[in-house]
Amino acid sequence: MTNILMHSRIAGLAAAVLAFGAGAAMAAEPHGGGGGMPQLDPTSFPSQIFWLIVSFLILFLLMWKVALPRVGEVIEQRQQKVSADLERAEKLKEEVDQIAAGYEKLLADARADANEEIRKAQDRIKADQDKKLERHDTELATMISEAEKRIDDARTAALAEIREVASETATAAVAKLVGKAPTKKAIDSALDSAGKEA
Amino acid sequence: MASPLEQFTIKPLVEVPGGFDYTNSSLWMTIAVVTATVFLVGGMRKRAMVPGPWQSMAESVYEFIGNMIRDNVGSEGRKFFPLIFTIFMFVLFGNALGLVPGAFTYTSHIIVTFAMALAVFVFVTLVGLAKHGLHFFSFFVPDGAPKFLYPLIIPIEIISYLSRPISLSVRLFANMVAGHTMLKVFAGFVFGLGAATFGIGALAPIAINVLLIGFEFMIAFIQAYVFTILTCLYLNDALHLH
Repeated sequence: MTNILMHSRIAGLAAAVLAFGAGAAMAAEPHGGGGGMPQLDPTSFPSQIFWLIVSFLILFLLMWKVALPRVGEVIEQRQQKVSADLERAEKLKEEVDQIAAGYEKLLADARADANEEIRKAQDRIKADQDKKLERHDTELATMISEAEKRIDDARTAALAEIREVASETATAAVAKLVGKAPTKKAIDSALDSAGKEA
Repeated sequence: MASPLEQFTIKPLVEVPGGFDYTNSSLWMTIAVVTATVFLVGGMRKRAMVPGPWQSMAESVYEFIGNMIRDNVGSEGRKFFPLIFTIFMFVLFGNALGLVPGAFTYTSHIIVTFAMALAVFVFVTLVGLAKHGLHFFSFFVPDGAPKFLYPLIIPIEIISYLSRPISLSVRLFANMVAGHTMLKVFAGFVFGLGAATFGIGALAPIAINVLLIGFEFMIAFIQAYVFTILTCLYLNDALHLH
């Protein structure tokens, strides 16, 4: 780029020097023929400068007052719109984040609630079962003790009956063997000692 | 055959007393003003949020110059935007319209480019004086140069400052003259060689002219760009001194 620029500049300057030379040579000759550089004819200068000033000022006013404000306005509007859109997008994103956070929180709460509920139910069931077990245990214990008492009574009754039968049998046996009925006292003491050995 | 320089001839179209004739040069200045205005105003007629091709072009020229001023002059250059924009458009359209066959290129006249460069020079100097007062002249005293070199450096700085309008105007003028002269010379060869070789010899200069015209469109843009960016740099110097 710079290379090309330099190149064209050098070429241009060389041409200009040549042109100036030619113009100067032409100026030295008497006027009349074609050729020479029209750029060096000073008779055109006032007109050129005058119309340059007029055109440039008109263009300046048109650019300054008409064209540039329009371009600037549209670019400004676009930048404003873009930045407003970006801002809105940012805000919406924040909102979405908030909603997502709320949703997450709700979900976590629901999960915690459910867990609590499950735990409570489990506790309730456990307490219920414990109570039932306890009741069954006591019921069983009373039933067992009642049964034991009944067995005990039966045993005592049975033993008393056995003693009665043994005393009668012993009396009869002794009467048969000896021919004389033993005293009640002797039989009792004999049964007592037998009972101790047993 | 006509001289390649004949295309630069000023032809009065409407006589105006006092030497202010409305000429072909004035006509093409008028055409440039109208085209530049139509280009921008027409491009913006829809004020579309999403621009079409025409509006895009208008906006990119606006932003091109806006960025150029921001980068080279800074925020203080903002208020010179319309002026610098006008300079760019006037030179660009002068250069580009000059490439229309049969058109007149007003930027190929040294008096036009010199008048513009001198106006830029005077304006920029006045801006510098208005902003810095007499302190503006410290611009000609480079920072950090040893004092005993001042008698040498200060005249050099002043001469280089005064030569700005000359280099600014001659650069544009010479590029335009060289380009258009070259195009005319090769166009002349088309007829010369073509007549001598039953048309076959005309192909080479035609091919060269096809390349040259593309090259000249690039030069038209680059020279408008150079003229404008140098104006920005001079303005920056005046506003910020060193």
